Amino acid sequence: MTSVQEQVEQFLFHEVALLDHRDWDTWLELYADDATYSIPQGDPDHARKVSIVFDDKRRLVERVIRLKSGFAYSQEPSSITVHLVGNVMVVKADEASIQVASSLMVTEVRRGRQTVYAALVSHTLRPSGDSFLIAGKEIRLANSEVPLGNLTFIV
Amino acid sequence: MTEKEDELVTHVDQDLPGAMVLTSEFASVRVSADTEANGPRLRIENRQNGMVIHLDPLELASLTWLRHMDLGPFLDPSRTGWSSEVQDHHEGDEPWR
Amino acid sequence: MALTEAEKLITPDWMVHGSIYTDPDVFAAEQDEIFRHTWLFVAHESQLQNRGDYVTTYAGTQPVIVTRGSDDGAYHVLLNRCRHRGAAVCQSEEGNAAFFRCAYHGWTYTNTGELRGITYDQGYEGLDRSKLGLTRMPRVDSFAGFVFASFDEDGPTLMEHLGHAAPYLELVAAQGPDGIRLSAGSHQIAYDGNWKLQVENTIDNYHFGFVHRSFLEVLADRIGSPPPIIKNILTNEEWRTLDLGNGHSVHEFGDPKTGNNQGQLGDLPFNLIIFPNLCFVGAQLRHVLPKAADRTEVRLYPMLHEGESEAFNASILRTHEGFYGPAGMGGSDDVEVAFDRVSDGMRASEQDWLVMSRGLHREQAEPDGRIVGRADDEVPQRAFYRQWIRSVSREEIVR
Repeated sequence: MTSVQEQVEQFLFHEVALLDHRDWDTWLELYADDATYSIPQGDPDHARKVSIVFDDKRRLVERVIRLKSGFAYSQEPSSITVHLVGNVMVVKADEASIQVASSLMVTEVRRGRQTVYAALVSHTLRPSGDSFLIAGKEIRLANSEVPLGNLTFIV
Repeated sequence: MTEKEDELVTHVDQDLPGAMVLTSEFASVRVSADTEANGPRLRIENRQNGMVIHLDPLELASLTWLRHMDLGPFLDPSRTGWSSEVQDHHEGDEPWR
Repeated sequence: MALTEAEKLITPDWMVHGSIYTDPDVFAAEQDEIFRHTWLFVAHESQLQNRGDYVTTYAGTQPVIVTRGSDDGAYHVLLNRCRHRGAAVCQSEEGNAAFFRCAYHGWTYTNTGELRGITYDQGYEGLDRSKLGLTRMPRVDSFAGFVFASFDEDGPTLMEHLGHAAPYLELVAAQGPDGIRLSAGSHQIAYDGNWKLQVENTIDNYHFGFVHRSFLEVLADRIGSPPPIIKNILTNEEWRTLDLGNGHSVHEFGDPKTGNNQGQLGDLPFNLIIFPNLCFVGAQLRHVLPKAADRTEVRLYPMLHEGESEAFNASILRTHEGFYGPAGMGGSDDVEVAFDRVSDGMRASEQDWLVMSRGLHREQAEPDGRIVGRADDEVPQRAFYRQWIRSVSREEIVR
């Protein structure tokens, strides 16, 4: 029997693999209908401070519509990404949800340039069947407070 | 105010109950009410060098009469610790020379 | 820049030379002739509500500290550079301090710029401290809550400079029941291209249906039908562009008090450019920061409505984030196409001219000097470059 730790790790690896393969439709299915997905600038305070991303499920769907439209020029051609997830820690777990902390490194190649992003990520996972749904994902980019170029691939 | 700022500005000091830490990019002080003496005083500790001053209520009340620029002489570093005439300061000494 | 050189950069029939965007000498001339003389936006009053408050920002390329005097409450704009050995004195983006102390050797200044003291001062003989305060921008003034400063002691007043643009700034300031505030922070974007590309792109309705095609598809899905914005740009007579004089321009989505961009970009009834580097679009104040001929940073400050609920203001932030910023579904396509691809394209310099004459034949001059054109005409671009060429050449060249 696999441990919660192993299940969670496999799930996080699965999520980023979908992003690296640009399988956005399958990726969307990982998210609960009431999910939030955010990239705050500095400490999160979404009610009062502007965030790089603070999406509900509807806006995640819109991002995918845009990426698939063929006219999202900032992703034409798409970024090539390699996501690396590590330091996966189950922070808190009960029957309703599991809080997971992880470290993320994304190498992105586009317009002849390679860019590396690093982030501390926290997932709120909800058990669903023999897997999970993502109820919340917060990506704390190390460089969220410096001028950025193009972050329109899905981090 | 974000949590981080909140922590920076007013974290409660374990060693000194009721103390507040106020930090800017130029200085950091620990401020607390002191009741050890025969009357109450405000204790201010410079966290960068450990120097302490206690101010009594009349001194504090008098400060409210000042314009900020009246504090200018205290802010001249050559008169408050960075004097060419090197000298150790202790509480009870004149605060500047 | 000599008159003859500047004159060659824009032809009478509105061909604009590519070197305007690429030549470091043109960039240097802009710094000397435009940014050294004109009024530059530095802050909004909501960022400095208390005496002693300060923010660090840029006046053009110059790092500055904008302060409110601890005693007089007046605005001061100081270059963020210690007069001793040049270190930036303030590191924080914002703070409150009556005095600043440089970390390098402890030189201490008042927040109005005077040199207050020097450490171990017996090491100097005959040093004139009165001449070694933080360098001040000699003129500081504010209008409708927007604080501007100029490096030039003389020249037009702020009101003379703003001219026909002033009423629009008042409308921006009155967006909320009790005004606006810039308390939500800013998006910061950077690109390897010229600063004017961002200013020009702020009012360019012609590009919207092309560059933002993917966002229009998102909108269509959101509202269930094709969004009306393109039809309005092409046919709505009440949507119009205006050259406001002095380099400023506006695009009105109908009535400048009640108009609506119908694009879910934010609620300002117009897009506004204040020459040279301040723009308003959607619900944002856009501060364009030139870094080099081929490097620009842009700060996008969502404007929250003073007197509205936190939920209302949060919805302003969500709308802004949907289109703008490094991960926005609209602004990122401007960076890609209007800045990056333009910068790439202009390396092909055999025919180094851009065409900026759209709508020249149908623009109308008003008696008060304003020039009115259609929504998709290049009236704003010409407004900008009329002032640009006057400034860099220091001559009245009529285009």
